[in-house]
Amino acid sequence: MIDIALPGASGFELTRRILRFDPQARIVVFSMNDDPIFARRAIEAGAKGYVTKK
Amino acid sequence: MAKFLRLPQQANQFGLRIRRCLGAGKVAGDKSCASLVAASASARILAPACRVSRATPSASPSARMAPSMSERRERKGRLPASGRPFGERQDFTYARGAVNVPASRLEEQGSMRVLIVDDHPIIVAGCAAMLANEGDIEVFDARDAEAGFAPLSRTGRTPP
Repeated sequence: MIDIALPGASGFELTRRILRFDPQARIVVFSMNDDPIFARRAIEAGAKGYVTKK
Repeated sequence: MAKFLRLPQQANQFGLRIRRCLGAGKVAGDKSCASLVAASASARILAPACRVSRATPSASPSARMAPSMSERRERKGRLPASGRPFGERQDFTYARGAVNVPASRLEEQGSMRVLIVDDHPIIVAGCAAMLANEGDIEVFDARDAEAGFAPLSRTGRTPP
């Protein structure tokens, strides 16, 4: 479960890096932002889902 | 007050969606509003206790609890898997318990391991409290992208 806004790197970048490290990992990006663009970017990065905190 | 009353439903929906995405079989148990709020309020106390899975009855009792002062002193001279000394960065402190879980035990038990990466401790504590209801889920947490690799590196492989 990865937040988008992180110190050091974005959640999307971390998602890509983890999946390069372990392709079997299942990642859910969760954020306060409910903009579909962020959900699309998360899925494109390889996340299995996008969950809003609202 | 109205926000407080809506919390259980929101929390259950959140937990359900998370578990669907992660592929877990059953729905998370009913975490009451009061305990979720209490968990969030005492994030630094509850979250470390949630890190070790309940599916390991053979684990020593001390492994299920937050590290004692003597254990912390003992760890002081040791480096985490990342090679960076503990406490060098303020935001790395929260992930300290996670990187000290022995890799061999993680490999043996075969339980689901969930890594929560968020820089807000209250969010991490709330999610960890919901997932802690399940006996076969081991929860790790990290507060930044760099620390998010620490538990992965304990599997014996080198992160990119």
